[in-house]
Amino acid sequence: MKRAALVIGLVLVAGTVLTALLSLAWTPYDPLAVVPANRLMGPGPGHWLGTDGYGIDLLSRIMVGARIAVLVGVVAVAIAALVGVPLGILAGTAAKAERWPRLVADVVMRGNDILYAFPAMLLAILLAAVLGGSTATAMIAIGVANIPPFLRVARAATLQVSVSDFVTAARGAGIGRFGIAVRHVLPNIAPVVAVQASLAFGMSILSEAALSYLGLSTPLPTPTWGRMLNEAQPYAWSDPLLAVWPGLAIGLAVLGFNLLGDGLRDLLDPRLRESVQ
Amino acid sequence: MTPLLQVSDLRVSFGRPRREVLHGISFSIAPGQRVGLIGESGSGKSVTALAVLGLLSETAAVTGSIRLAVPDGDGPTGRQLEVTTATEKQLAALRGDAYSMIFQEPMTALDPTMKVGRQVGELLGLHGHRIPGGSRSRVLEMLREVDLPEVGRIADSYPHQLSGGQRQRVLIAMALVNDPVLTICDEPTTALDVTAQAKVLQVLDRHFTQRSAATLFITHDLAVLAGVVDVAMVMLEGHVVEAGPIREVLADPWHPYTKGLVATSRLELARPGERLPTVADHFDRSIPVQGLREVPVSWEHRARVPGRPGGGA
Repeated sequence: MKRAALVIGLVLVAGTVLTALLSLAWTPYDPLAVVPANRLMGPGPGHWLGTDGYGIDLLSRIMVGARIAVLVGVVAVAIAALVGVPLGILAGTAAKAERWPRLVADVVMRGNDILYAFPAMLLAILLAAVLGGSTATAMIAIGVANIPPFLRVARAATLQVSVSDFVTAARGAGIGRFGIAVRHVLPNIAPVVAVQASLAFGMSILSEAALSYLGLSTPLPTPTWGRMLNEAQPYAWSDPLLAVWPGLAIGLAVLGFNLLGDGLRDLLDPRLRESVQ
Repeated sequence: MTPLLQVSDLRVSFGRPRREVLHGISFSIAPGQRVGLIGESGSGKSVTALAVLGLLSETAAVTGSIRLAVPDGDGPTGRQLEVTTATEKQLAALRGDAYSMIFQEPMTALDPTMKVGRQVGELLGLHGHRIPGGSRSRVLEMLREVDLPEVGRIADSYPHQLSGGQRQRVLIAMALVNDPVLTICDEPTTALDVTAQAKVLQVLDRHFTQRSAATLFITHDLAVLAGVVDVAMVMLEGHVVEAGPIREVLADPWHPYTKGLVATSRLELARPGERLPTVADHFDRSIPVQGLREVPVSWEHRARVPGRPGGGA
């Protein structure tokens, strides 16, 4: 049963990523070509998912939208992990240290709490107001908003690993604090970080959709799932399928990453318990 | 000769309100000397071991003095490092190099995510020794020295792929790889079965003999101690209650607690159907324990708690 979740998650994630990659080389139609004669066609053999109010092929737009979703997800998770994990290890290692490193750790954690309390969407709107709406804005805003959970997860895992015998043994062998953090703590907390990354990826896709729905992400004319939802709004009653397709894409991608994250956690848990004992 | 390790009036307490677990113990270890430390669980053996290398957690309050001789590449320099006030950096320079430690739990003292060969090699590079023939060959040589079979395969294994006895020997290889002058062995055989235990003791004994290296060997098992050390201290409730050459301590224990320990380790003397001896037959736990003031550096004379006759309790 747990395996099933992992497999479904993997399939959905792979589907999203492959679709994004495929869109770089091939889409059934030009995702920007306006063909008024074909507007609002239902799903059929020519256009599998139908066309929108401008007569643009929906499948092509969904495929290009996957590209933006995956790209923003990768960069945002990378930002969050690269900032959050080292700071989390630092805070976890210094939590039991002498005076000043512990002070640094406390400052880091309180800063993290403040950032956590700040609504991610507000942060994104602020950033977009300053930098203008762009793909980079979305990446940075979602990345920064995702730092706190990474930091917390990394710190908690570090605290857990730090009390294990092999860390004491490493200290007893003369390995310095930095060496222990990089060579012995980081590899041992990697599984938890991987789980967090998978969950954060799903959240990032959802956030990106919300930002581009509001027009704070990738500018026109590039199609994104969020913008497709926005554009489908006038046709919500007459042609609901226009909103269903991007909604389905968002839902499946987020579901995929969440299932993958949960599956990874179950898969890695026994090993994690063994290594932390 | 300057002792390698000089401990005086070492007191360690934990928690709030402070609860003292070591009540002022004193002893010293000379170069090449093999000292046993025996006692039951909770007597303060491991706390002593961790304190010597400054590995106690930040919550421990340590008073008294622990001095380690600081050697350089060629031998003793006459300098001493006071562990209770030393910085982590000063301690790290000595740990794993001149002074090393073998931990009790082979199952958890190795990093599960790193191949054991790399773990041994990591310590080689750490203290800046130049290795003729490269570190890989030195690692394999070291694994061979602790009698591991197929050293190439073992070096490329993760800890969970090895047996308990093999892991313990890897830990020993890690502790001995930089040729320490003093190795602290904290119950290195407790987690092992009898066969693996004999192997480990043999490896340790051979190494200490070859290099005339000193050891502080901690155990609760008298039988283990007899074959490995020259002199021994008996520890009880945070006090050292008896010290002297191991043969004499075993043959003619002075302290009632030691009498009890010796009696319980000689189960072959018990007749079938008879009640087995216990420590309590010899030693009344309700009497407050009094510790030795000092264990003489020379260890030539036996020491016992003052004011307590050599006889029974």
